[in-house]
Amino acid sequence: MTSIAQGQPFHGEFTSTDATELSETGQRFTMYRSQGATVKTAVTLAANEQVVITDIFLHCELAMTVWVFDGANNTPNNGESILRSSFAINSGCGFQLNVPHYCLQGTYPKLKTSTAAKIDAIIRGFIVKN
Amino acid sequence: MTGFAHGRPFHGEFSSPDATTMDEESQRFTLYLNKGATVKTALALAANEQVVITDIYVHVLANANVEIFDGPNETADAGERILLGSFAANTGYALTLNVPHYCRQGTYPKVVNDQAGQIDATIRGFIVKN
Repeated sequence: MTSIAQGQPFHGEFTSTDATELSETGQRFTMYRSQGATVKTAVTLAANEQVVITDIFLHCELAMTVWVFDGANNTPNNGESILRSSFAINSGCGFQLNVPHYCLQGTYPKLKTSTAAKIDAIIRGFIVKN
Repeated sequence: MTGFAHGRPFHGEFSSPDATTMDEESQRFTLYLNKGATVKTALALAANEQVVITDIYVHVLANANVEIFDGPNETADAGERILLGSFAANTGYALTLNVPHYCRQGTYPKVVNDQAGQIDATIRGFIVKN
């Protein structure tokens, strides 16, 4: 896997009690470059940077459909789906991608849900410059 | 993954019947350096050492919101979340991370829980000097 994606390692956090009607900026994962960090500062993506996702963990408090996606707006369009699934109460998933997901260059990974309830998600991967 | 995390392999243990109201020191995983060990002695982190987590296992006995995090205090601040979720009773997760989690330099990974009930967690990874 590491031969495919070389860049700065990051992790991204998303936690919300209602991710149903958020704006594009509200839907974004907050990303942190952590290697060698004495403090953790949120990343602002440059237009030529691309988020490459290798690991996803999410967990829902209630039954809901969850979309994790990339792209320029608050709707998952064709080719922008990172994960979509209907989860039961107090359930979730955690998995590792052998081939990572490449977000659209310069756009943030995002999350929306069908139901207003607590959702927690963490992604990991690289930020590469193209 | 091991291509970008070089250091001393460790594993960390956390087990508690009530992780709801602990102080920062009690929330910490106890870390052990394993390579060539004839005895297992808990590790004290130096200020320039960083815990790099590659594997996480956590399991709860009762319904609980669980948070695994790093940082200098007993609260998970932005950028310090390693895993969080509202777990059902007798459930858990085992995650292997393609891109590891880099704790804040000189700080320990920790666990907090919103409900009293047995929680057991094990982490693995490397300790690197910066």
